[in-house]
Amino acid sequence: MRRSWTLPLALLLVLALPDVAHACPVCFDPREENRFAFLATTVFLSLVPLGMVGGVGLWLRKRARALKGLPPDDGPGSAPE
Amino acid sequence: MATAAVPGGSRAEPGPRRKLVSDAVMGMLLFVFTEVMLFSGMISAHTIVKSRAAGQMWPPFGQPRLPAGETAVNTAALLASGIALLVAHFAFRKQPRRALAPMVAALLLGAFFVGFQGREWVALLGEGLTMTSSTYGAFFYLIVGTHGLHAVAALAALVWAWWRLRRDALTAAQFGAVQIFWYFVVLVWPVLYFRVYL
Repeated sequence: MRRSWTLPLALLLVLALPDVAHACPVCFDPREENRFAFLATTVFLSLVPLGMVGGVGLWLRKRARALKGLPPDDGPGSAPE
Repeated sequence: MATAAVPGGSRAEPGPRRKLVSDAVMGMLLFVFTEVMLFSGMISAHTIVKSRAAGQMWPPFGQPRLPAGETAVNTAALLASGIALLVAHFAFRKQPRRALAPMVAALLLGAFFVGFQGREWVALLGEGLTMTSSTYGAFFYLIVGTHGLHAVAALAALVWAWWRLRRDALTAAQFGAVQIFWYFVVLVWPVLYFRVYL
């Protein structure tokens, strides 16, 4: 019984509640230089962490392949760290 | 955690494993990641503010110009210190004590960089560029000051590593971690120089 009105109510709220969202006044500027700066810094800040994580992932993979076949840390002949 | 052997048990104990990377190096890498994001945020904010001044004067009217030429020489000194530490890295791999001399060179060049930056700050303050004089001044002291703090901390780490190496107590992992820190300080600087000074 309760479920019968939950869905229509949710739909009604979804239709009624949304309002026009105004752009952040700081992020809006009609000038081309500023729009480009926002775009460039957004791309930069998005790619930097992905690049770092990806780079370390690839480095670890390469290292794992290089260490394959070598004796373990506590095995004979392992270099002290 | 040690696991007790099960007499007659069929489950095989996991064998000893080689670490891909030492804890010191991994810890320093994670720290450097966060610092890269810190500087990325500051560079991005600076880029936005500078772009908003498009068509206007940048640096703002009445504010002193940054000494880009002199700082280029200082940048070369910092890059040279990075190269000296790279030489120390290869020397350490052959025979650890042979890394002492190039480490001293890296230390002196790094100290020269920090000292020169301090002298530059004194001159700029005298010319009226302060944190509150303009957005230009605020960004300059924030970004360059944050880098300066990192340079001082990395220099302290280098001194610590050099001291341990003198006593034959520096491990490869410790030296690796210190190197990562110093290379970060060295490599982030040209980016800041091009964004802030030019």
